[in-house]
Amino acid sequence: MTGKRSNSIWYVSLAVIWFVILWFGLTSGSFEIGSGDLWNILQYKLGFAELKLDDLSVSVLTKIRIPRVILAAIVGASLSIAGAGLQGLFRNPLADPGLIGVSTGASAFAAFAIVLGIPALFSVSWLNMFALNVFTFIGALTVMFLAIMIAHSRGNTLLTTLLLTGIALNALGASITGLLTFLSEDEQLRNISFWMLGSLGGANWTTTLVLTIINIPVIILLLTRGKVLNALSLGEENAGYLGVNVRREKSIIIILSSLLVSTCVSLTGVIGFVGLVVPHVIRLLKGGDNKFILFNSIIVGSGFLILADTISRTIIIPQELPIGIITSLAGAPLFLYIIIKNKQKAGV
Amino acid sequence: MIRLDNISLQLNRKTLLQDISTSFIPGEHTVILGPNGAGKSTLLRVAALGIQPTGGTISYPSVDISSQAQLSKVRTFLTQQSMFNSELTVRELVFMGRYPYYHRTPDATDIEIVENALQRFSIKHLSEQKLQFLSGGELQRTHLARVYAQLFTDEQISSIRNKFLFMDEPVNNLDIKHQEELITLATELTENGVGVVSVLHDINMALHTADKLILLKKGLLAGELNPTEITENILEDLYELPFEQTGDLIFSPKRIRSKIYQIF
Repeated sequence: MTGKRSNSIWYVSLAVIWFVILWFGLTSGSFEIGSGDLWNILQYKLGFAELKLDDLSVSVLTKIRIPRVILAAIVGASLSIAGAGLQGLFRNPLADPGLIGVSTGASAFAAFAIVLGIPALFSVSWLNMFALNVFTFIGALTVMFLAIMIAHSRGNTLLTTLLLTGIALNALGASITGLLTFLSEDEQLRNISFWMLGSLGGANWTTTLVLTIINIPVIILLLTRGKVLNALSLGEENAGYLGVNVRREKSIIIILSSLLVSTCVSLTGVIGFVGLVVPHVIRLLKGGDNKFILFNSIIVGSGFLILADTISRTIIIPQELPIGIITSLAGAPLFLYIIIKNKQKAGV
Repeated sequence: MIRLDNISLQLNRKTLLQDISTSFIPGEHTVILGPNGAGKSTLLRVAALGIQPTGGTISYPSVDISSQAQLSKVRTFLTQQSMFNSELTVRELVFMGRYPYYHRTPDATDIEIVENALQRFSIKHLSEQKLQFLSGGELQRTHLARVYAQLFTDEQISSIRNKFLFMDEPVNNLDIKHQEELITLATELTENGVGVVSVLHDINMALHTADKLILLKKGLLAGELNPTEITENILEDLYELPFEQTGDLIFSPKRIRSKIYQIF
C-alpha cells in the first residue's frame, strides 16, 4: 500500500485535516474570534479590505493567538521528528525523544531554578523573564553532552551504552526533581508540577521567533537523514558498505534530535507522548521508510500539537489544562487502538 | 586489483588473522575455504574494509579508502543475514543499493537499475511486500538484488567493470535452483569484469565456480591455488578430516557409516 495513488490520498487528507485544525486553533479560545473575523484580518493585512474589527480582537489574534499556534506547530514538529530520528537510530519503535535523559535532566534543572528562586536574582526584566528558560536549556545541553561523553569510546558512540546511560540519567533527574518537590513550598510546587506537565501558555512572538530560528534549520538537517536511517536499519556494518559514515552520522542524529528536545523543553516544559506516538503511528499506518516517517512526523506532529493546545486552553475556560495531560490522554488510547488494529491485520 | 599486504587483526588480544598477503583481481571469482573459526568471514570483512586491520596495508585501485562514500561505489558486500526489525518494502531495500549514487531523489537511471535487479532475482512480484513477510530465501534474493544494484554506476553493464562483490555464505537459505542461479550470477559478473570474493562452505560448489581458492586455517593463509590443484591431502590437512575423490573434481568426506549402506 505504498503506491502513488494511496500516497496522494494520504497527503490530501493530511492537508485537509491540518488546515481544519489550524482554523480551529485560530478561532477557538476564551476570547471570541470567528472565522469571519479571521478572514477579514487576512484580507486587511493583504490590503484587500477595510478592517471591520476592534483593536482588541486584532491584538488578541496577532499578539497572542497566532504566535501560540505557530509555537505549538514548531514544538509538535520538533518533538515528533526528534522521536522519529531516535527511533530509527536505535532501531527501536519505543525510543522517545527523552530517551537519553534530556527532558528529565532539564526538568531537574528547572525545578532547581524554581526552588532556589533563580529568576528573581536578575533585576533586568527580560533576563528575569527568560532566566528559567535559559537555565533549563543549559541543563538539557549538560545532560546531552554528559550522556554522549559516557557512551563515547574510541571515536565511536556505543548505542547500547547510550541507552543505558539514558536510563540512569532519567532516574537521576527524576529523583532530583522529586527531592526538590519535597523541599519546595506550595507556590513553587505548583510551578514545578506545571512545568512537568508542559504548557504553551508562555507563548509570545519572542519565544516563537527564538524557537523558529533555532529549530527550523535543525529540523531541515534532520529531514535529510532518511536514507542514512534506512541504511542503519540494516546494522552499522551494512550501513558502512552502503557508503554511510556511520560514526559521524550517529553523532549528528543524536545531537540534532536532542537539541530539538532541549529547546522545546526549555520553553514549554515536558510535553510527553508526542515524540513517541507520532512517528510510531506513521510507521504502523504507512510502513517503515524513514524518509517518509521523518517528513510526515513534521506534518502530523505539528497538527497534533496545535489541536492538543487548542483543547488545553478551551476545555475549562477561563483556566488552562496543562497540555501534557491532553497529549497523553488523547495519545495513549489512539496508540492502543492502532496497535490492536495492526495486530489483527498482521493476523498474529 | 585489491592488494592485501601482511594483514593482521587482533581483537581483545586474540589473533584472528595473521600476516596474510593476497590479492583479488577483477574478472576473477576468489573463494575462501576453511574450517569453522578459521577467520574466513573476518578476512572477507577486512578486505572489504568493513573492519580495520590492526596491521598491514590494503590498497584499492584509485580510491581513497578512508572514504566510505567512495568505497561504496567500487565494492558491495552481501553479509550473512542477521535479525533486523524492518517494515521496509522489498523495493525500498533494493533502492538502498542506489543510495551511494543519488543525493535526494533517485533519477531515471537509478529506477531502471532497481527494476532490472528486481527482475533479475525474480522478486518483482514482491516489490511492495514488507520484508517481515518474506521467506528466508526471498529475503536473501532481495539482499542480492540490493548489492547487485549497487555495482552499477549507470545502466550499462560495462559500468560494473573493475568493481568488487563480496559475499559471505551467499547460498544460505537458497534452494537448489536459486543456488545454481547464484553460481550463474557469479560467472556472469566475472565475465563482465567484476571481482567476486566469497566465502562458501560447499567445497564442490567452490571448486566448480572459483577461479582461485584461498585456504584459511586458524587465521593463517594455508594455501592459494587453482581449483584443479586441489587434492584429497590438501583438504584433509585443512579440515582435519579424511576425504576421497568420488568424481571429476568431486570430493566427499570418507563416510564410514552411511545410512545408504546400512540397508545392506
